Amino acid sequence: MSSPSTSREGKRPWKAIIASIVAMFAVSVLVAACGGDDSDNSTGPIKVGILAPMSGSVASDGEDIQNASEMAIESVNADGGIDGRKIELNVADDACEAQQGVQAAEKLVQDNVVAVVGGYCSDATLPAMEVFSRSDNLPFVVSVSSNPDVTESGFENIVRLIGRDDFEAPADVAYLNDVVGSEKVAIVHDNTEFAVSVADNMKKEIEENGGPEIVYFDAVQPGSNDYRAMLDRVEREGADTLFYTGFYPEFGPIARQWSSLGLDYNLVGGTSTINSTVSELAPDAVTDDRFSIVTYPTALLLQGKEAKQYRADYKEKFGNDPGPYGVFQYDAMKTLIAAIEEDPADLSHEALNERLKATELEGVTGSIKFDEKGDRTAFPYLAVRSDGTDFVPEYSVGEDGTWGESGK
Amino acid sequence: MDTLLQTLVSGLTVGSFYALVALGYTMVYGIVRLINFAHGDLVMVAAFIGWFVLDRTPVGDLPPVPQIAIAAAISISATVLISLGLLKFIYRSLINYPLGFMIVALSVAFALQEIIKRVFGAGDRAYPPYTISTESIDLLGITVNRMDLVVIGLAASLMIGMLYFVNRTQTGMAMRALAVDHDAARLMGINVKALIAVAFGIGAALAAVTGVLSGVYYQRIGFEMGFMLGLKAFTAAVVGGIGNVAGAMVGGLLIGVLEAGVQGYLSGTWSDAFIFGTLILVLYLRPRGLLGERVAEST
Repeated sequence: MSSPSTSREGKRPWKAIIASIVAMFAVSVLVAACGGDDSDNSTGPIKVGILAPMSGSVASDGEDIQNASEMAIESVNADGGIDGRKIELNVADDACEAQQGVQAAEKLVQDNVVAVVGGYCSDATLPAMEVFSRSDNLPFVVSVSSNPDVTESGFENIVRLIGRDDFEAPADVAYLNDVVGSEKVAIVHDNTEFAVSVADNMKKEIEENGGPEIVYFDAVQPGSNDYRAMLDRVEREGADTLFYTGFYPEFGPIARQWSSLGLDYNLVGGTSTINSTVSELAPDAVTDDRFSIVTYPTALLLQGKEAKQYRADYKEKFGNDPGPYGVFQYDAMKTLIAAIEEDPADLSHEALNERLKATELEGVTGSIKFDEKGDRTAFPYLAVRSDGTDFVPEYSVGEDGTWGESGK
Repeated sequence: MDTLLQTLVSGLTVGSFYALVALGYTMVYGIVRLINFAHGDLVMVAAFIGWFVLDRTPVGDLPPVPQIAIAAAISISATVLISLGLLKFIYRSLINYPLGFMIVALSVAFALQEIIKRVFGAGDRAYPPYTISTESIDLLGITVNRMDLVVIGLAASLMIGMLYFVNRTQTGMAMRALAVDHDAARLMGINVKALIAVAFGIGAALAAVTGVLSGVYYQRIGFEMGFMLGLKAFTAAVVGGIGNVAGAMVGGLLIGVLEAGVQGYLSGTWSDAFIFGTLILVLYLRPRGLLGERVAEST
């Protein structure tokens, strides 16, 4: 049994024995559950668990995830399902928090789902992963949680559709190299943990793999209104590009003052700078040729035929525009469906996990292919600029991981 | 040289905002020797009232100058009323209990933030764009926003007006008498209650001007905008010499210029550390502030 009980055996025999009995009982229940699992799963509908925040502050995103999941199975079920078996969704609410996440995960395990798709808040996703892993590596297709730990924890039952937080910096540097053609860059953050880590990782990436010379590396104070002192400094340091890794409330005034000062260099914002308030505050800046924002391929930004179809279908079915991240859930569901379809007769955890990692398909968010950790090999970041009303992609990361013109 | 001037303009603009808010702290402190920590959040409330008038009422259909004037007038009146209301119903009974007053004022600050958050939402709101704040002009080789000139000019005239008011008018003189000794002033027939209200009212009016001005210039307003502004302005008042009208201006401008200078020439990462470090040094060398604490000097 587990090592703590054996080590204590000498001192407290009774406790050790009781602990062993309890542990054995727990394992037998689990084994029984898993055993029942496999037999249950060979007939009747294919049950897929959805882990999403259906209550709490991000409940609207949870609803978006549920809607996207329903859309993804609609055509499959309309065609009579996979091998005559329809897909049935089982939604569990993680409320965007750790404890609820564990409870929701345990509920899904008890309900004998063949796999779980979802995960929005990393705080809930990480503890839920532990539960799935203990349940005989129940396959978990993570859609929106971007914390690196999701795929770094070494679990074998994870693939993930969204880009990791720490993928951003290499993509940012590649953008500066491939698209902007920057030779002297100024990197500015706002002292918050996320922005500092992106900025530091960009610096590391440039040092290791080459890129523009960093002529200025500093922070601004978030919440302030006047960033002209920093903007002038960047000009004085001779930068051809300013890259801001912080958040949109500061990026609005920065963009506005950048354009009103008539500065010569390019302005690029990181993934947390995209927001309609930026266009509202800086209408002249966001349409400028030298302005762009590197961002995730969210539902409203994607331009491909499939994405337009997704938006139209979503609006028709649910009466409103899709939320930003549901499209990753949609692709996550499609990934799982592809893995199931490959061999509907064998839906055991081990086989499904293996097939999920090997899945390759064209999703709405771009080409999907996973590395050995379960992350996408080339995450299709976009670079956008405003056309006067909306942000529109100008460039994107292609299958080979390099930036190119975005197919419109 | 040009960029030095440019940084200076930016610093003076931000400093003018600090100075206007610092005046409010100093007026109230000068008379009742209390710190009204809700003062910064009055700026925020005023900005939202101005935004409401411009964005949600027919006033927004008028040409820019009258609409800003009307919004400012409504915002000033409403903010003064709120401030007097707070004084009458909450602060008045606490005037002789400095600790209780401080805690209550802090609570009022948070209450105001929560109320605005409930009413207008947690997201930022934007003032309508005015060409005066979106287009820049060339002045002596540097690029300035016309609002820089408006802010600096308006702040300077308001501050000169305040100096005149405190030193040359009867009410101002009565206020200074009150600052020295409440009981003696009362014996001289000075209406203490009314003068305290005047101090709160003037402070609120200046806060309202700051709020609307900030909205028109930067467009972006949010429920949390007042707290840090209030804190910096309070620091400015203390550094200049609290209770001292000229000190509030000097302190405000100093902090604004220091902020811009540190960001522009030293290190933005360490900006707050530099600024507050300098302030510690100033207060270490001159505990009563740069221009001295008016009240203390007279006793």
